[in-house]
Amino acid sequence: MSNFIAFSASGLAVGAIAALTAVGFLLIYKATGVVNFAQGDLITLGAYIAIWLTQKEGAFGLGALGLVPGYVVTIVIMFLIGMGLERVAYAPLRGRSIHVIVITTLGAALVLRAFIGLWQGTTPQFLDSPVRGEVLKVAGANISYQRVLVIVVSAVVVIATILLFQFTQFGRQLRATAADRDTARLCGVPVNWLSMLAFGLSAALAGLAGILLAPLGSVDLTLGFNFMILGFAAAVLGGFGSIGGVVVGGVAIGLVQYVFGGYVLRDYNAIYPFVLMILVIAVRPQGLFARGALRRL
Amino acid sequence: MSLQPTSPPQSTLEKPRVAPRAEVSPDDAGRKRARPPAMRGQPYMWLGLFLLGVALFRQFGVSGFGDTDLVNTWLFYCVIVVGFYLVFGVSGQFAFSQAVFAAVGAYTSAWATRVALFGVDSFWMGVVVAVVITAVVAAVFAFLMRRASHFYFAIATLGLSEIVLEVLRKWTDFSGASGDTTSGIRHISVFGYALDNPYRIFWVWFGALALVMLVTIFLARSPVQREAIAMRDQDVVAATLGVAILRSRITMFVLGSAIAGLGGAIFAHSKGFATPDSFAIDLGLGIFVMLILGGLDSRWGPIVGAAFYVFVPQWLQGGVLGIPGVDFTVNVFGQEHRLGDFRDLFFGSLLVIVMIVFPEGLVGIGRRVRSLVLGRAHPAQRTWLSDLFGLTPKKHAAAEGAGVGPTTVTPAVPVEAAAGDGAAGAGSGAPVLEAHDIQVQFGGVRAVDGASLSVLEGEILGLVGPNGSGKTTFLNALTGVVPASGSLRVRGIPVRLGRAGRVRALAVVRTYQTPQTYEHLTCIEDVLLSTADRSLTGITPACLARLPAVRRDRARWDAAARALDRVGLIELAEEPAARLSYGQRRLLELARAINAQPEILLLDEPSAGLDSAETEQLVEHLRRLQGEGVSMLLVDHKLDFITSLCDRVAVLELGRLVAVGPAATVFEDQRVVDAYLGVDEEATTSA
Repeated sequence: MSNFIAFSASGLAVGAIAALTAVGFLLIYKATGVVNFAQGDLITLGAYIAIWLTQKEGAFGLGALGLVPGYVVTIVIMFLIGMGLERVAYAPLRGRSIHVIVITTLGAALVLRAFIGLWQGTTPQFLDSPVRGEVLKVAGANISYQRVLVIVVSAVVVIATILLFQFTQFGRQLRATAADRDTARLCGVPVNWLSMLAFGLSAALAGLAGILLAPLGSVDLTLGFNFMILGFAAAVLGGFGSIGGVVVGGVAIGLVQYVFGGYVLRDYNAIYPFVLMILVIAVRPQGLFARGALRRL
Repeated sequence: MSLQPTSPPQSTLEKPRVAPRAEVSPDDAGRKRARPPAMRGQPYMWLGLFLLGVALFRQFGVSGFGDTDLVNTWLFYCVIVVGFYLVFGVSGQFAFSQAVFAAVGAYTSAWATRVALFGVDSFWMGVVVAVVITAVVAAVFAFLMRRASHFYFAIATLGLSEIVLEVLRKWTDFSGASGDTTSGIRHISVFGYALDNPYRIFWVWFGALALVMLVTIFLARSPVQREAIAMRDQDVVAATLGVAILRSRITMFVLGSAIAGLGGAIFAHSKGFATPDSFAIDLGLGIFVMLILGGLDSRWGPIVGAAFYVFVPQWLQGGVLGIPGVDFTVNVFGQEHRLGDFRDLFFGSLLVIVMIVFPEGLVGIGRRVRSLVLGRAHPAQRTWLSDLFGLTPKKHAAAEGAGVGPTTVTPAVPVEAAAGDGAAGAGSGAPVLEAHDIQVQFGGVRAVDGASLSVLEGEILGLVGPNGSGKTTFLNALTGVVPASGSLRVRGIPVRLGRAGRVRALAVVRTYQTPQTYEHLTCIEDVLLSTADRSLTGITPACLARLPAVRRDRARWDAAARALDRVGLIELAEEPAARLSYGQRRLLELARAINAQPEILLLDEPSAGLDSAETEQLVEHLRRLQGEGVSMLLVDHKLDFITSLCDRVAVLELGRLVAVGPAATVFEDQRVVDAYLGVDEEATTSA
């Protein structure tokens, strides 16, 4: 029982971050129809920026920030970076095929990773957390507070994103832009500004995911990329459309990896999410929860 | 009459090419033998010269183990990227799995030689086993992914990479690894002669590259490549022409992946050790960079791209192959970096720049330079990627299309209209195509709502109806392009609906409302796609039974050339279809249909956008086909065109069949008049 609870907590935490990642690129996908392969490296970048701000002598030798202010500044910086990315890697290509933009985001991912490598080196680093080392005891299982924090923060953020999408003017405009960019523009929707905002928010979510993820292990250059693939898996399970579906997909992935993987061939638990994803694509190419078919990219 | 100004320039533009072909003698096609462009040129000679150059270079240009090792790395990349060229460049499959298939090959071969499978522990056995296992894994994967969209396929290959690498890390019984590294992998030996240093291993890579390049030439000079391109560009159209698109997609993926397995196996044996990380996503992305940088529409692209990828960073690092490099350091973030440290930054940026500025890659730039130097007007270089990216100016097509498009005023068809009516008795044979209760739904809309229709032997059945009445959708349903319910029998044989290509097997061929020709194939290749003779078209005969396969294909060219000649396009046989005018593309589609040797032809608005002379020609072609015993279902808007040709006419309205019968009777039917002109309010109220 205690094992089960511990496995579930790990699974939910990983699932929550996968969902957060997936929501991040779904935001861009919904606004622009682009799948951003740089999302993973944005996560890595978020983790490194947080480390840079909060450790040793801090940024530019200004002194280390406290953890929470450091996190907040990280997320703001990531938001700005996302907007910049939109200007550099997406805006010039608008109107081109989805393929070129996807390959360009791959290039952007390579550039980001190379930049981080030059900046921070390749040795693994560690990000501190306000709840480091603290453990919650539930029915004999030890659950680190970091995992609880991950689950709670992700849940709050995802719900906020859903509310933002469904019930605000911004959300309506975003959905309108996604449905038909030109018509939205004619209706007075500031489409350029919106796609910048979408990229910014998406990068901010990536930064948040990086901050939440980093204290669970070490931070290296491949941290985000691996999680991005998990996020893809979550999105595929969810049918690449609704945020709700993605959350279910993320949780399914986390549970498959840690709960199922906790009991069956434990050494191989890292592959279960992908096996699940491949099976889902094989059996239901439109995803488990999809209402319509994915627009063929 | 407002049409008058637009048609003369257009006809002067097209007539010289199209019109005078009417009186061509049949031998003409024989005299001028049209060939697919892949059959031109001397690819074998160029490959030979290239290999000779590489060998000489290695003999005299390379000094030291370090440089030889670098050349070997280059050849390794060449081999796996050529495989990727087949997967992505030729057949358009967005895959990140190439690196990981190299890993499968490497570890399988290491395992097979370690445990001495079949009691043999030779390198050769290991390589063969590796290639077979890699191919099997790829085949299973591709089969599972057969319904995935491009993008899902890409994500799935990423997932597959994670799975394979994780299994290799964890399954130490298989990998034989201690820690991360599998060491002690058997060195290569050939007939007892150990190839254990880079100088000697070079020859193994040399042989592997020669083999792999030879395969690409074989494929280009066989139906395989054109069918893969057709599958890549418009898979549904290819399927309705009879191309086995699933086979094409899976076999190309398997072949490309097996080549990666071959490369991986040799790599493992040449190094003597392997780690999963050397095949991780970095290599996967690198493979992408190499192919796109080199140029993804040429078999030389991988070689050029790999050379760039291997040698340029080394040069930035301070010299390569005796060429002194730029050797200075840059201070970034407080650390000294040599230029080579910016490799990934460099390639990432280059990927973006290549995408934006020259999607045809270095090979494409080379072609441009060559045509500049030779002062030869070179055809605009376009790759399927540059089209995808909307980089290719489409002004030709647009201009011609604009001149032709809005021919709403129907030109009079002064063809023997009376004869057409007289022939109405011709279509009195047995039904050859029976569609019963066909239904197609798009969301809540029933585009075709229980239409039943039979085409009789030898007749031309017209299908008319107002816009949106479901005519095209009906054809789409019959040819499996859209999911539909109902039953369909062709010559009494039931056909399952919903799969493109099913009816093609029963000699039912269609054309499209807007001509669906292939921009990246020449006219003759386009026509060849529909061939009825599909024997020896696979990869195996293309590589292993060259002589019979080529001989068979040659017979197909002759047939295709005859079909082109028949519609008067033989002069343009070796031109890319993209350069044809709208009307010519219609004729090309017709030639393609003729080449398919159809028994039943489904024509979707064949006269749309044609001027009166072209329409006249079309009528002649269709009559001649009818005379050859082809039954036709003809969708069109021009009623005089329909009445002059058709034995019977069926009328669709709102997805239902409202009338069938001889044209004269049908067009007097009140329901048909209502369908076209709308119900007369007064008439209804007074009735």
